Amino acid sequence: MNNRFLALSLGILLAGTTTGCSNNVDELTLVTYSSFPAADTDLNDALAVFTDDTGITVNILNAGDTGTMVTKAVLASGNPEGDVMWGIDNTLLSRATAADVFEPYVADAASTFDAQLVGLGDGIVTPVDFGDVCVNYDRSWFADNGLEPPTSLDELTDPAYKGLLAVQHPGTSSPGLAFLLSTIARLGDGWASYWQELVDNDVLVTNDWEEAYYGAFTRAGGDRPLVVSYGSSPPFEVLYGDDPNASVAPTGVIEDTCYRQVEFAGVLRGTEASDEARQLVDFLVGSTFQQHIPLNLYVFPVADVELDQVFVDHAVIPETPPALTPTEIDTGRAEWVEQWIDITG
Amino acid sequence: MGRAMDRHHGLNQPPRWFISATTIPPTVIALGFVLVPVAMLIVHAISIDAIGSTFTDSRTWEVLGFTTLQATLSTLATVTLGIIPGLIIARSDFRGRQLVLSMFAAVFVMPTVVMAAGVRALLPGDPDGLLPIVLAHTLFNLAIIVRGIAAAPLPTELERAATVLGARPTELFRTITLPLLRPTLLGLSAVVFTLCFTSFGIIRILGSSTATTIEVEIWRETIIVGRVDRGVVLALIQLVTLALALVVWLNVRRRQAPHRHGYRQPISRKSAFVITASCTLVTAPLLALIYGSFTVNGKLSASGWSNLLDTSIRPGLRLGIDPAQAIVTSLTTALIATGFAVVLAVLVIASTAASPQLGRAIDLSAMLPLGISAVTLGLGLLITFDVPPVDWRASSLMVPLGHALIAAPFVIRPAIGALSMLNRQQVDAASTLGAHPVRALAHSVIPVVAVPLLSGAGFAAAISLGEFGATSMLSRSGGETLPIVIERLLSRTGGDFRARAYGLSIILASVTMGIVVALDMSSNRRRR
Repeated sequence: MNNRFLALSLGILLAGTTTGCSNNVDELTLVTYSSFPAADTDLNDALAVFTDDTGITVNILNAGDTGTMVTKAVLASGNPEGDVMWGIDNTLLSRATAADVFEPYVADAASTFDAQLVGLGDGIVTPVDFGDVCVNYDRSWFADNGLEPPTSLDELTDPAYKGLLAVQHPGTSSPGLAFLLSTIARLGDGWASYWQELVDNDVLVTNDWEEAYYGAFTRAGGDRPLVVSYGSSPPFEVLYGDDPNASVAPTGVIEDTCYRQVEFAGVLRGTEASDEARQLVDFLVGSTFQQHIPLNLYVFPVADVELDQVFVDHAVIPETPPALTPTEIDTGRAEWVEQWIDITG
Repeated sequence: MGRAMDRHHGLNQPPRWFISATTIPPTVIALGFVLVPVAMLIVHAISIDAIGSTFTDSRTWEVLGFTTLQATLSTLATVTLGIIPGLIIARSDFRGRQLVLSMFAAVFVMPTVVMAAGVRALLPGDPDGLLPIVLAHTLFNLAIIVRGIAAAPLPTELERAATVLGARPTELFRTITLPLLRPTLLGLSAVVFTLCFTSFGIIRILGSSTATTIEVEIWRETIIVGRVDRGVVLALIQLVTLALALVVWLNVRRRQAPHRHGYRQPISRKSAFVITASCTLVTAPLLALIYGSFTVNGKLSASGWSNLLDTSIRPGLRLGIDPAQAIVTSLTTALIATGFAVVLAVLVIASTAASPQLGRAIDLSAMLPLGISAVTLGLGLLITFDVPPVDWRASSLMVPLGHALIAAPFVIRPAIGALSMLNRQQVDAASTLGAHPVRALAHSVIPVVAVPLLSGAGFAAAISLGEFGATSMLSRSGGETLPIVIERLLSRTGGDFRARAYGLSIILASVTMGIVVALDMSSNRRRR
């Protein structure tokens, strides 16, 4: 009896010391998707500021594309590969929350962000950036052919634009899924007949974004001057183009077609450094880090930071309809995609 | 039982420790890094519900049907197109022979995105479906058939004798060459079939919702839809189907014909034409690559090349992509992976030479990684090596180890094939005359397997350099390999990124050709 009591109290004491130990964590692992730069960008320099402030080094672990990263996190739920995850988006979030991947934590700063974006995180994760998937058009093609570019989703079915649009397969491509969601969010049940009209108007479906943007798009030598891409594509066409001071971007965005994708950061459940992980999430939504997001990740910051002039000049941040919630997307997706396949067959 | 075996092999059986030392490490690696992780994932994820719904879903069988159909057609096309050029290269001496051989290997490692673009250029108007898939698979895998036949020694004396006796060329081919070539061809076609059956990258680009493989379905269910349980059921279906196909195939193969070395003669005009034609075919995608590297936004431009290794667009605008470092990472990875693969192969060869029965089992299991879906294996590794002291999820050795597992069959199979030419009586005689059995074995085995081993090592390096699928499934920190960097460049908007990606693909192809030529030449020197 006495012995058992002793063992018990010793056990509690030991448990106490081990938790005590985690106070001097000097390393955190940030799990990210593959397009997050591993080194040598302003984002990485910003993370070094975090290290200077806290003494904690941040290791970047590249877990594959977003889908792969989330699938892995679900399998490793409770015994995560790192401490904080960057970049899970609203189409995949409910899959992760259903598997308890995250330890709920929302940064205090989120109270100053767009409430709609914060709401999508459902009190479990913090939004870190957002971007739009929109139909882009090739300005010079439309000028050369004496045609006005379409201005709305509806106009894409106009016979004047027959055979001009390229989209991606929503079953395999992330912007392809976003564009399908855009039609569902805007048209409700009418989305199916809308897609039938797009098919009648000879829409081209490619398997992925590269094939559409770098293959079918007229700017790449293809024959489609309208392509589903990102709202941030035009500023990057300028920024990475021959003339970074061009007054007009070579491509434009049809605002009425846009669909917002939101990315989140969260503390991974099972981390041994919960407090430090929360500190890192706070840092990721602070202005030191947020100001470098557009140029390095091609999306917009959630924090109120000044944008580079090229984004002020060439980017549009359109009014988009309320995004579908992560749960709506997760429950509806499989059926929508199957229906979509039947329509576009 | 032990006594019966002893009687069979007499005194010349290598000692037991030798067999254990050569058998246990490859077995442990195959079990630990392939079978156990896959089994762990299956146990973790499988559900009665998923088995039921996958087996009753008509789509499963449609996809399995298409997978088998395209793999069979692709294999037939590859063998048909590869056999004649392979034979010509095997027995002709001509300038640029090494170059031609290495060119096939360079095509084998071309990034799938680029190959798909090349195939589209060859087949305008029909971008998706069976025909482009078969064409792309054929171009990719021609290297396996052509190089395999070119490396297999053929007894040309028999053909000479038949020609002297008045046999016509077609008759000669049908009655002498083909039967002699059969074991080699069956072995090579098994590899091609496996690669086409489990094809991923090409199908993701050139396939469609219906024209798809089980491997792509596994990825779609697991990663896109998030139903890991259905993914593992599909992975099991893929593995079982493929294993059945291979067992049938390898049973046919066992009836081996004896090989003897032949000699090469100058190339005839007709043969030269065939070689030129097949080179043109495989270089079509390479040419598309070169053209693409000089095209920016539809206009000719050399900026892709002049900016090739840049890490920033202009001062203050950094890319976060470092191609020069990727070249170094890829070379280091390929070096380690080739080392791993060759060590594995040497052990397997040694145990096969010592004990043919054991060797056959290992030979079969070395094919295993090719039949297992990269997605399943990647996720299996993730949940297996997740607790200290084996928390190796982000170990920087995971990627080269994965490459080695994929490349090992390409090193092991030709060497085992060569081993069948080993004169066992000679080994026995040597040990009867007093040589230690291990020494006797080494003396007779090394000369036979050195050439296929060296050329296999070149192929392993090529496979590692071009590998994308498994790498993209494994978690990694630090340096990216070249194919991954090419993919990242291709997914960016604006500028000359596509031209740069194509330029880097050319660098990748050239480095591969260089390595393959160097190893082929050194193995040729040994042959003489």
